[in-house]
Parts: sequence; structure tokens; C-alpha cells
Amino acid sequence: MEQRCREWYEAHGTAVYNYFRFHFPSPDVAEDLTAETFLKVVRSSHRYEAERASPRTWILTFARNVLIDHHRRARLRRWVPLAGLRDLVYDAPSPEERLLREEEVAELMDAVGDLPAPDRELLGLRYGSGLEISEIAAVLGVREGSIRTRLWRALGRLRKALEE
Amino acid sequence: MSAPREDRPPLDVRGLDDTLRRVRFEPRASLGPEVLGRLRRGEQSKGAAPLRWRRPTLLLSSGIAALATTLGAAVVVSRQANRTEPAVSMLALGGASSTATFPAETTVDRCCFDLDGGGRADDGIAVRVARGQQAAIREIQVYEDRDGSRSLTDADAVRFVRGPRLIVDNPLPAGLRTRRYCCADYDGGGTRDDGLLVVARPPDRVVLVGLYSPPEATAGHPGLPLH
Repeated sequence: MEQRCREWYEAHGTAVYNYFRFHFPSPDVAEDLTAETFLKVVRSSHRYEAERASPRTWILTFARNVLIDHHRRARLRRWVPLAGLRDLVYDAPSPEERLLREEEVAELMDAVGDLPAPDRELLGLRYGSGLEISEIAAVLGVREGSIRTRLWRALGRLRKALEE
Repeated sequence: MSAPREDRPPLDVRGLDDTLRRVRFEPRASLGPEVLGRLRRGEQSKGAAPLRWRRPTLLLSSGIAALATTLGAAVVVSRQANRTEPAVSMLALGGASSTATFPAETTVDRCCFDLDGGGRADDGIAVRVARGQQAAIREIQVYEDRDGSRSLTDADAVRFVRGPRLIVDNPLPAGLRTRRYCCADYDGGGTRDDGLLVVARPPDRVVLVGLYSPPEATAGHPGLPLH
């Protein structure tokens, strides 16, 4: 079980973490929920059927449930702390460039946080976890065409929010 | 993520699509071993608490928050540390929004540095932070400590104010100078892991101020000195 946990975490841990980061401005919350997801995943690993889903989509189904549980447990605020992007990956050698990049991403994630929950869900799966449209469709149990339409609309709403 | 042709978004949001694809976060390296450790210890995942327990807990939290609000507690803690550590004031503000889900705000007030490049260490920075599950910086002010109180008062001249959005003068004035202060606790989180970056035109014009997360701080490096 431990070996499987290690392998799955190494392969999909960052995707799960990034999924949560699209929902929460705090790295700490994303870390907690990532750990929670993998604890649940490993305990249910005997139920995994490779012919029905890829490990990534299966694990992200758990991540979605962990997210729903978390929302049930707490009312959350969606602010982006200016100094809360310690986990941001970027190639910016100088503090000035790092700061500007953090500002840009903070503004973007702030706008994502203000979107309706279904939009955030799609953006988290698409850009956080890096899933293809077909994989998102598998996780959500929705047809691919519908996912495309909803995703493009969500992007349109995000663009509008950023322009305001 | 190389998208098939039909997965490419419409032209009007393609730039945003590209921007979002470039946003990547990296969990701390110790998270994986931590998960394994929890698994080895046989730790159970949290799951949702039974409703009969959640409700009294919420009521109790609300009651405590309401009591704190009623008392109108304004706690000022000042400490004067050594010469390289300026005075720190933390003011907990009670208010109408102080409930179990809307926690109090904190202002971290640090003084005095030469932030504007004027040559005198008479500038302070006041950072208003909402404390809760996630700390959120609401406002940053840079002020000139005119009355020598080493904290922001009505007598001081505020040189720069910004909220969560980036503010940059356009066009930028000539003769700018950037100063970095690292690392200190500017967000009231309790750890000295925040960097402060100030772009100013001496002697007293502050153009941009921001807090950032220096990699050297997260790696445990002490960073550049405060002065």
C-alpha cells in the first residue's frame, strides 16, 4: 500500500495540489487537502479498476469529494494574499520580476476565486490538474462537447472579470 | 498539455488560456513523505464531522466571537527588540464583521526605515491583514513618521496606499530606486518569511510597494538584512 501511495503521489501529487490551488488562495489548505485526498485514495486503492479509469482521473474524483467535504465543513473566504504565493513556480530571477509575476497570478487567481463554483471546478481540472477535455468529461461524467462549451464560457466570464 | 485542435478555445479567450497554462504551483517537498508518514501511523482521513457535533461547535465559536466583539477588544502589543529589529505594533481591531466566519483584522506596523530614499530612517509601513483560515493582505501604507511615534498616527504623512490590486504610476517617473527588505514578518503570520519591495524616487515619492515570498526565506535562508 505504501509503495502504491508513493508511486501515485509522485505521479499525480502535483496535479492534485494544483487542482486545489485553483480553489484556494492558501498553499496550506491545498497541502492539507492533497494529503487528505491521498489518504483516502490509498485506503480505497483495492477498488481501483484500471480498465475503467486512468489513475489520474480516478484520484481527481477523490479530490473533488474531498473538496466538497471541505466546503461542507467550513465557510471559506476567497482572498488572495499578496505574500501567499510561496509555491508559485516561475522563472524570474530578480525580486522585481518575481513580485510582478506574483501580482499577475494573484490578480488572476483572485478573479478565478470570484467565479461561480462550476466554473472554478472546470478551470481547476483543466489548468490546475492539466486534464484533457476527455479526462474532465470522465471525472465529471459529462459529455465532452458539453465540457468544451462550459469551459469556453467560463474563460469568457473570467476574461470579463479581469477586464472590469 | 498539448491540446487537440478541437480543444483549443475560441480566439477571444486564447490568450487567457495560454496564461492559465503557465500558472503552476509546487507543493512543498516534504508533503509526500508526510502523507506516507500519516499512512504508516494508520491515521484516518478526516471526513465530515457528525452534524450533532458540528452545530454546537459552531454556536460556541459564534458565542466567543460575539463576546469578543461586545468587549470591543483592541489589544495593542508593542515590542521594542534589538537595534536591527524595529518596533512592531499589532492592533487587533474588533468590529461589526467579527464573527466566527469573519475574523478580526490585524495591522502590522513597522517603523522606521528609509523606504523612500530620502536619507532618513523615518518611514514606516502599515500592513492591514485579515486573519482567518487564510491570511489576506487588505492594504499596505507607507508613511513618514513625522511625530516620531514609530507607528502610524494622524500626524504622519501617508506616502503610498494600495489595496489587493497592483498600483503603478504610468508613465513611471525617472530616477527610480528599488530597495528590498528581507526577511521579516510583514503579514503578521508569526514567521520572518516575507520580503518587502519598495520602488521610490528619492527623496519622498513612493511609486510601488509589494510584499513577496522570497525563495531564500522559504528555504530557511535569512535573506538580506533589514537595513
